[in-house]
Amino acid sequence: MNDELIDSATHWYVLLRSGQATAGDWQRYEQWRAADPRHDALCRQLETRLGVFQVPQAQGVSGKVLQHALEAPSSRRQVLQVALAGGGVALGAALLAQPLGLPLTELTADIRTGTGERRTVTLDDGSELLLNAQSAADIQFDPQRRLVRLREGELLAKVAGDRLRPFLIQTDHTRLRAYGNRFLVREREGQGQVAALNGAVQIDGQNGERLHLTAGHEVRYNREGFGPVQASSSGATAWVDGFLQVRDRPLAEVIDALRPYHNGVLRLDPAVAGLRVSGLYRLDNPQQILDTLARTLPIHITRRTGLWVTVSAA
Amino acid sequence: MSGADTSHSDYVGGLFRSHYDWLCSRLHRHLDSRAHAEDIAADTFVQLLSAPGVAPIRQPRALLTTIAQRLMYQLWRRRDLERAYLDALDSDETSTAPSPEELAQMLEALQAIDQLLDGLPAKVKATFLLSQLNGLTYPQIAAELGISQRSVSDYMTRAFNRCLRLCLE
Repeated sequence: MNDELIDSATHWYVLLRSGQATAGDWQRYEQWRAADPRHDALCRQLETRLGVFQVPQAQGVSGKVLQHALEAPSSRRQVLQVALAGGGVALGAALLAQPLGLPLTELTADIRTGTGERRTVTLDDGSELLLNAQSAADIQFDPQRRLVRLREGELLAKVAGDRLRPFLIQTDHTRLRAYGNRFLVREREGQGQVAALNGAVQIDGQNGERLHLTAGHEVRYNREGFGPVQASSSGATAWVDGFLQVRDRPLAEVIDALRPYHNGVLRLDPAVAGLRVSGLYRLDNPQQILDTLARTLPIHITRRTGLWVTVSAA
Repeated sequence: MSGADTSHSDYVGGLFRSHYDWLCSRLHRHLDSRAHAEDIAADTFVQLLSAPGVAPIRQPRALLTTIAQRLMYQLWRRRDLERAYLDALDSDETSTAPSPEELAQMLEALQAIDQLLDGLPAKVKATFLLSQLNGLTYPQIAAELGISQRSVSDYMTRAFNRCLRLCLE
């Protein structure tokens, strides 16, 4: 069964990459993919694996340079095999147990979501973090404070009460202190947003600015500082339920919100980045969202395989 | 962290207390720095933590050695790849020097790609990379590499076959 599945998936990918696939081929591929959940699951897994090529793509590294690097000879593999093969097990039992050299909680702290994945994590104190797709955070709790370091992406925090330990979130550019119990923070590539949903949030920017954001308000920021404080829209948290909700926002913002759900490269022509968009979309199918946008906006979607998508002027 | 797998963390915690120092000193004999040995030893336990199915382990030190050995291969392969990548950038006139962040990201990706394509012949890798990274069509790849379109198609089949197989493992 698996062999058959792999063979038919291989057939489709080899055909679609050739540069000679017709619209009919694409349609038949989509039908094949939709015909069986295993087909779709395998395609998704492949797309996730191939997501690693986004890094060289983003850095403009050519196939040739990469090929040269991969030809690196493996220098010490054999030496090591010989060195470690003997003895390791027999040495064992006589050594005494040693005190901990490294706290185990540190090792378990990292939480991370992949493309298209959302996750809820319950922390030791009963607080909850909801991570949007392609997000990563470290949990660093100690007796004085509860610190979450948002390395990348977006999360919604539901903070449990604790009179003694403040709840803090550290990002690359800001530090947040929660006074209420629900708030949202996002930071990707230097662009950030905080929304205080319930109770206030104090935000310290990297230039020494401090902002007190009251419930029901949101603010955007970047390396230069904070933007204007605005009333928060329900759209900010729509992703929690798997939706993208926008009202009169630039297309660039919509595309940015889709990126964590898209396997591969998603390029946006600056000429259409400012088009205004309103609507409610299901995040779990970013391709469909793009098609829907193309029906209502003067844009054209070009796909070189499903992985490489360009949005340009029609 | 979620409390669902506390018993597994406790179990690994126990192994950690009994074997961490042993593993560090064992690794140190094969690595040039104490810090590297500690990193690898810590990573070894992280891998155990993320595999809740393995407890109880009859010979923990044998398993720890196996995991640590694999991690050491990866570390060394990473260094080999880094050297080769910088060499390749150096000899390519169109490339500019990457920032430290870009380089770190790239090395991570390079290692994943290396594992993804491991074992495929050089021509197959070259073909797949030109399709995947440069977005070339098969006729373009055939011209670039001086091979027939039939071969391009065969090589792409081998590459996708391997990647898809890895997905199902």
